[in-house]
Amino acid sequence: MPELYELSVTEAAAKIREGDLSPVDLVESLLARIDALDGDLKAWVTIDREELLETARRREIAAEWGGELGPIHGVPVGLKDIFYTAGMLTACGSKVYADFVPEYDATSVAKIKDAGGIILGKAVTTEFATSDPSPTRNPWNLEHTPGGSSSGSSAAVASRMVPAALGSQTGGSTCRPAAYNGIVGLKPTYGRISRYGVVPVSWSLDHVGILTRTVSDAALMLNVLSGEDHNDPGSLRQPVPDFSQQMREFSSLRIPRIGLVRDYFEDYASPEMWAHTEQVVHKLASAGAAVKEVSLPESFSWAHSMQRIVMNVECAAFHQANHQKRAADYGSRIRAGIEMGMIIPSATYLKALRLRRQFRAEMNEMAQQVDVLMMPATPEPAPRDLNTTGDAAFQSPWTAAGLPTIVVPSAISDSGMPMAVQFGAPIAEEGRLLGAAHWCEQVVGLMEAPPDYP
Amino acid sequence: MPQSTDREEIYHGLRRRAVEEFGEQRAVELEEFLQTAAQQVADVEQAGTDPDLEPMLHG
Repeated sequence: MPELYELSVTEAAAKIREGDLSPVDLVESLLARIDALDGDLKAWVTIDREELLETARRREIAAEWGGELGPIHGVPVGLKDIFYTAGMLTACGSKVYADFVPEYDATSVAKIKDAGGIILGKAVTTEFATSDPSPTRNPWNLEHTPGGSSSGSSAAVASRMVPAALGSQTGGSTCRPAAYNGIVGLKPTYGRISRYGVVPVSWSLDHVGILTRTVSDAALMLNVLSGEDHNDPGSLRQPVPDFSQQMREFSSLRIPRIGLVRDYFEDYASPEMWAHTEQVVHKLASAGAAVKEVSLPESFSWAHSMQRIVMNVECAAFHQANHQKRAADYGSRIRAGIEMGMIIPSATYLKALRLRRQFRAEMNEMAQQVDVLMMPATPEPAPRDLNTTGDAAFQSPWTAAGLPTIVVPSAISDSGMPMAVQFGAPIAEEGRLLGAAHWCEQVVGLMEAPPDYP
Repeated sequence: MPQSTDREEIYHGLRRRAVEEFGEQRAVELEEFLQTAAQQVADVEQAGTDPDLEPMLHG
């Protein structure tokens, strides 16, 4: 019998629905876990225990009364501290926003509540979700970076302090920390989840991301969070399917056709990481997957530069007024990024946006050759260096293209840190992505908890 | 005037703007970032685009 804090979202929701689990007991178990671990891991920034337990009691009463319950009724979810929460501090890891208390919930937060979920608290983010490291530590080894910018969300899910958390991704901020912490990270299609009420890094690149310990949980959370939102101009205007059903249908009825992307990824990955990726390919092929090699479009050669220019200019546009008054209150890397954004010629920014349209079309065309694309999730496991959040090079092109990607943990490295593979799919094909990832998860096996935090 | 595609020329242009905006001392501190940004601008400016291609304002 697992401890309550070990339950996945799917397991906890089912037990609550069946009357076998009290949301109050679940919350208390997670709070005890946080009390025991967070002194070391520093994953949380704000938890309102009184409000949290009161909400859990309300969910418990609703479950006892019966009637229709939301899909995650009574299940706690963590939020990266850039999501607006009405009446709760949203400090963005920043001195500039140190006292900021929003008056309304982000659309994604409201959707979690509408689905019966409970907001456990706000998880540590790097400053304004960029690259100055946060104080959070990696539960697999405290001397290694947990990655970023969704550092607290990832470490909290990995160490069983919460079954699911929201992150965001402008470069690699959901899928990279997921890989570094040995959990599942899902970055859906651009616009699939509303960004309304999420403090932006870069409007045209920002995505809401999902961090869980299983692919099934990622699908369930995507069901809860997806949908068009008139408050978000980048919101995807497409019907929302049942991703859990699509995942199950795909993984039970189909053997995935996988496109292994070598090129850049083989050149840039460490020998250990690439050898591991080939081992995973061999395992998947042995289990029946059809694997072929797929080549990146030529436009990939300038994709990183295009992504950085768009990100820096849009980040500067958001922060310029505060930068003029309080430049010294920004961390060194975000400050430099803002300043680069302020001096890049506007014509270059617009050209980058034009190139992005071309890049997106070419990446989508490549992805349509197979069911899913596959590559290592990161160039190497989480570096033993707390002055970096790691390298987003294997995420940022997919973010710039807006294609959905998912990271699935797949092994432990020689250094004792998790390794993971990343899958990508065409635009709006999350069902196929989740189905293939679920199939692969079953072949590779679920990742265990970090050894020091079992 | 069209943006140069020459990395050195771009670097000097960015550095000049950094001095104007933030002062000489800060421009010195930003040296590494200016070098990187110059390469990024050069990469984008050297890439060919269809003249009819419009910007993608949302991903």
